[in-house]
Amino acid sequence: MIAYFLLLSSVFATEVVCTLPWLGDLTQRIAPDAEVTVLARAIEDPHYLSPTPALMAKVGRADLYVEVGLGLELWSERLLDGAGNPKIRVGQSGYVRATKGISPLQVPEQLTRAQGDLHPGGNPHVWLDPLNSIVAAKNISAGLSRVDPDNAADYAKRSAAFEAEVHRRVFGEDLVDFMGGELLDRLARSGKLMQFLESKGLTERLGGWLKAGSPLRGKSVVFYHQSWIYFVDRFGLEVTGYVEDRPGIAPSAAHRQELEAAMKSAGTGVIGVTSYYDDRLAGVLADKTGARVETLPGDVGGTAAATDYFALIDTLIAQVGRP
Amino acid sequence: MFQILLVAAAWAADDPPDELPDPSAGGDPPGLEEAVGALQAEVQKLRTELEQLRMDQLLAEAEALATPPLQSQSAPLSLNAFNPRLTAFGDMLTSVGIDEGQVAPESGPWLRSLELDLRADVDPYAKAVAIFAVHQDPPLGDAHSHGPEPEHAEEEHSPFHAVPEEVYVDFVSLPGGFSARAGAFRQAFGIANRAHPHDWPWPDAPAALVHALGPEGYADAGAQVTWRVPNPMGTGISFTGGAMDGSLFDPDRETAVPEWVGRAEWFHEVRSLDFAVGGSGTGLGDQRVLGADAMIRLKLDGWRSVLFLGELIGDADDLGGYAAVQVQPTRPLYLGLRGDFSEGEPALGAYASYYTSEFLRLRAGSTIDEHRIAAHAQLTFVWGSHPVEPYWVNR
Repeated sequence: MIAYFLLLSSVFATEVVCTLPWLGDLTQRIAPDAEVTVLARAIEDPHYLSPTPALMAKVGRADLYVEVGLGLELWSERLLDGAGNPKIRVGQSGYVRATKGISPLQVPEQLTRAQGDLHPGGNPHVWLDPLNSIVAAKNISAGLSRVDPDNAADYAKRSAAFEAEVHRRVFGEDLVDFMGGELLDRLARSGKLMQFLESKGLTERLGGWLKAGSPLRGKSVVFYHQSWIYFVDRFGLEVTGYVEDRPGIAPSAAHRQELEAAMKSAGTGVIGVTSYYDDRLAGVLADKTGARVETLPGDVGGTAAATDYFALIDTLIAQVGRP
Repeated sequence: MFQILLVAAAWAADDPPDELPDPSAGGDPPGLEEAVGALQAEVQKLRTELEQLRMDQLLAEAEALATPPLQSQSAPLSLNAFNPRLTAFGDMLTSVGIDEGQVAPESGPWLRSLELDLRADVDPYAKAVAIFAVHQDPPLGDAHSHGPEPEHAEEEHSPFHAVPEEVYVDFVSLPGGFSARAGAFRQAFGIANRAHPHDWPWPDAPAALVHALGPEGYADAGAQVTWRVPNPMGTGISFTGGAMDGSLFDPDRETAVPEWVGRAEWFHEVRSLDFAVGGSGTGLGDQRVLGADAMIRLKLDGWRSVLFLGELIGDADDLGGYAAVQVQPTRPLYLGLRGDFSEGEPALGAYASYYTSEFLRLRAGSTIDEHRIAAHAQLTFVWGSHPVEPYWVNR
C-alpha cells in the first residue's frame, strides 16, 4: 500500500529538469515534493555537455525546465529541440531562465573571438554570489507556480524562507535583525555595505559569510578560468590574474611568465582551479611561486564537501580564505 | 524635529523638574512618587523615540547608499535581432599520397568545404536551417572525401562547387515526443552520415560509407518524422522514418516512387558511461542499404574520455564498415585509430587532433591501404556563433 502511494505520488509529482546542480538544489528547497532531475554533473564543465538522446528523454517528460541562461548552456537549445516537449520551450510557461533580473558582470565591451570564448551577455556564473541565488529562487518559484498553481502559496512561502536564510547566512542574524535583510541585500549589491558599517561603527555586528570571509578582503588570488567574478565581487578578493588569460584559450609561455612575476610581486598564495579543469598548469605555476593550488567546487557536488548550495559557499570561503 | 527631541531628551534626563519639593522638608509630599514615575516614563518614551529616530536616520542613510530594487532587464534593441544566426565553418586539407614509392601527382592542398550556416526560429512552431557550402574537388579521389568526383583533370571547369548543402525546417513544438523535419538534409542513417565531415573525428571518410552512400554522403530532399519514446528511465529510444526524393538509388529520376529511410536508436547512460546502438536502412524497390552502429563513450573524469564507435554498412554488393577508438590524453588533444573494411580491402588510419580553442582545430593523420599510403594535415575553423560540440569531443 505504501509502495502504491509512493508510486502514485511520483507519478503526479511535478517533474522539474534543471541544467546545473545548484539549480536542482534550489528547486528541491522550494518544491521538496517535486521530482528534480539535474542534467550536468558538477565534475563536468557546464559549457560542454553533450545533448545526448538520454538527456532529451529526461527533458521530454519535464513540466518545468530551469536553466542559467546568459549563454552558459549552449547545448540547451538542441536538447529542447530534440525533446518533443512544447510546454517547456523558451517563452512557454514551463521554461525558467533563473538569471532573469540579475545584472551580469563582465559584459564584454568588444565582442571578438580574439578575446577568447566570451559570453556576449556577460559572465554566467552568477550563483557564486549567494545574493544572486535569491533572485534565482524567486524565478524558480514563479515557474513552479505557473505549472502547479495549486501549490503556488507554498512555493512563495519557501522562496521567502530561502531568502531569509540566505540573508542570515550572508550578513549574520544580529545584523539582519537590526537592519533587515532586504536593505542589507541592496546595500551589499551597491558595493557600499562595508563602508557603511564602518562609518556607523556596526562592523562588529556583521556575521555570517561576510564575517567568515573577512580574511578574503583584499587577498591576492589567481584563478584558472574567469568564472569567479561574482565570488570575487562579493567577498572583496583581489585577482592578480588568470592562468587562462583569455577564456578557453591555453595560456602562452609569455603570459605564464608575466603571471608568475605578478604573483611573486603581489605575494599571491592561492591558485583556485575549478574541479573540472586540468590543474597541471596551475601546479607548475604554484611550484614556481610557492602558492598552493586549491581545487574548488564550481557547483554543488563539485567536491565532496560541497554537498548543497550553502555548503558550496561555506567550502569556497574556507578554501580560498585558508592562510 | 530631530534636534528638538534631542534637547527634550537631554533635559528630561539631566535636569530636575521645577515642581519637585525640597527633600530636606521631611516626608514625601503627596503625589511625588506618581510625579517621578510619570517623568521616568516620559524619559523612557523620549529615549525610545530618540533611538527610533537614530535608527530611522541610519536606515535612511543606508537606503540612500543602497541600489534600487532589482528591475527586470529588457532585451537589447536591434533591427537585426530576428535575423538568422550565422556561423561559418572552414575545413582545409593537405593530402599527400604515396603510390608504389612515388608521390601521387594529384597530392596537394584543397578546400574541402566552406560552409555558411544560417539558422533561426521561424515562428513558435518551427525553426529553419540553411547551410550553403563551397567545395573543391579532392586531389586524391573519392576515397577520403565527400567532395565530388575529380573531373577537373578532363574538363575545363572550376574545381570549386557551390551547393545548398542542407535547407530544412524543423517542427520542434509537436507533442508526445514527436519532431519532424522537411527539406533537404543529411539522412538519419548511421553515425558518420548524420554529421558534416568537418565534425568527424577523422580527416577522411570511411571507405564503406563512401561505397554505400556516395562520396558526398547521403543527403536528400524529403520529410521525416522522429518519435522519441517517452519513458521514465532516462533512456533515449527513438524511431525515425522518412520518404525521400530518391537520389541514392534513382539519381536520374526514372521512377516517382520515393526512397524510404528508417532508423531506430537506443541510448543509455550509466554514470560515466554512454552506450548507443542503432540500426538504419534505406531502400527503393528491391534495392537496399542497411546499417548497424554502436558507440560507447567513457568519461574518465571531468574532461578525459575514451570513445569507441563503429558501423557496419551493407548493400547488394558489399558488406563493409569501420571501427574506431579515440582517447583524450590532455584536454585539447585527441588521438585516434580507425580500421576500415570495404570491398574486401582493409585500411588503417591514425589521427591526432589538437584544439587551440573551441574554434580552431589542427589535425594530422595518416592512412594506409593495399595501394597507397597517404598523409593528411587538416585545419578546421569556426566563425560566429558558438557551435555545440560534436558528441565525440569531450571537454
